[in-house]
Amino acid sequence: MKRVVKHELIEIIVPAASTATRFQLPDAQNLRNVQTWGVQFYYDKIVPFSIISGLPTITKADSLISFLTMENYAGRQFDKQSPINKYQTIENNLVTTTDNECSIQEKDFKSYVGQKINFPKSYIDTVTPIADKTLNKVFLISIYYTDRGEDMSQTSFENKH
Amino acid sequence: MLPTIRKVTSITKLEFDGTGKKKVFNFYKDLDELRDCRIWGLEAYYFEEQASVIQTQGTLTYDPDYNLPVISKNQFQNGFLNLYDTNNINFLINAPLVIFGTIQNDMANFGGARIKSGIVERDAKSFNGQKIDMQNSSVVFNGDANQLVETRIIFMDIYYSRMDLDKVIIKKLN
Repeated sequence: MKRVVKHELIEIIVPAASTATRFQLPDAQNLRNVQTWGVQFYYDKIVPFSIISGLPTITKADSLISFLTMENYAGRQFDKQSPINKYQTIENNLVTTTDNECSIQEKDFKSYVGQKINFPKSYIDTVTPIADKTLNKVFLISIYYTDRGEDMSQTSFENKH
Repeated sequence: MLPTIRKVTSITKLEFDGTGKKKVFNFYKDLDELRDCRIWGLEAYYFEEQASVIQTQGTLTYDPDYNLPVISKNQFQNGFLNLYDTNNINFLINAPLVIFGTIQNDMANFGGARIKSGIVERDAKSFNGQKIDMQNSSVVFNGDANQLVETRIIFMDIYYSRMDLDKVIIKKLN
């Protein structure tokens, strides 16, 4: 169980027909110099579309060949090439049938310990290109964080506004 | 899961216009209980109607106030929650509703028009005692959730404590 202090949703666009296999994480303003406590990722069976751009999320097959690398401000990759399904904690169904394939579900939940992540230096690698021929799609990721430097913060009892 | 100090149900009517466009709904009700309180947990529900089977899927069917159907599984998967605190800080930005679905109804999906499986978050989240401003908060749905003209309900259990009454308990939790 994790407590949510702050949450930010980020997306990484996979452009149509792209041959790229590395996708940088965006430089989200709210996520600069903050302490990260958790990451959660979604694919099409769980959250089919991103609310940010409206684009479809990556498929389950894409998720199986995708790896997340997180870098901190000291230039160290403290989380290197983690299979992104390690961060998929929602179950849709457990049995594959002719119409529906089962979801992947992580039972050993991971969380961070407050690392400050340099998001624009962090990235997702895929084994082979995953782009569709005509349609853009996105990696959709939740980031759970705290921001001690924020004025007017109510996220801790240290700050009694 | 955190122990329950106080719990209130937030029931908000959602008028979908069927245009296939993104829709934003504010939690317009001014609930007495949620004034000057700290939030510790949130749970959301959905309703999956299966005409061809007797049993009801999902985690809730109708709400007790309006007797309207709760949002569908598809709407649940396409909904994103935004919460504000009383300093107008958007501390929860576009959090997928599915992360607050912690009740399981069934596990297997038997496909097609038959039984659909439940959607369950295994890593239950709770909050940290933020001072919530519900009327400023909202839920956003993708166009995919807005395909029909219909009225649905977003039904949420909100676990909270009153800052004037529960000081001792809050101290222990912190």
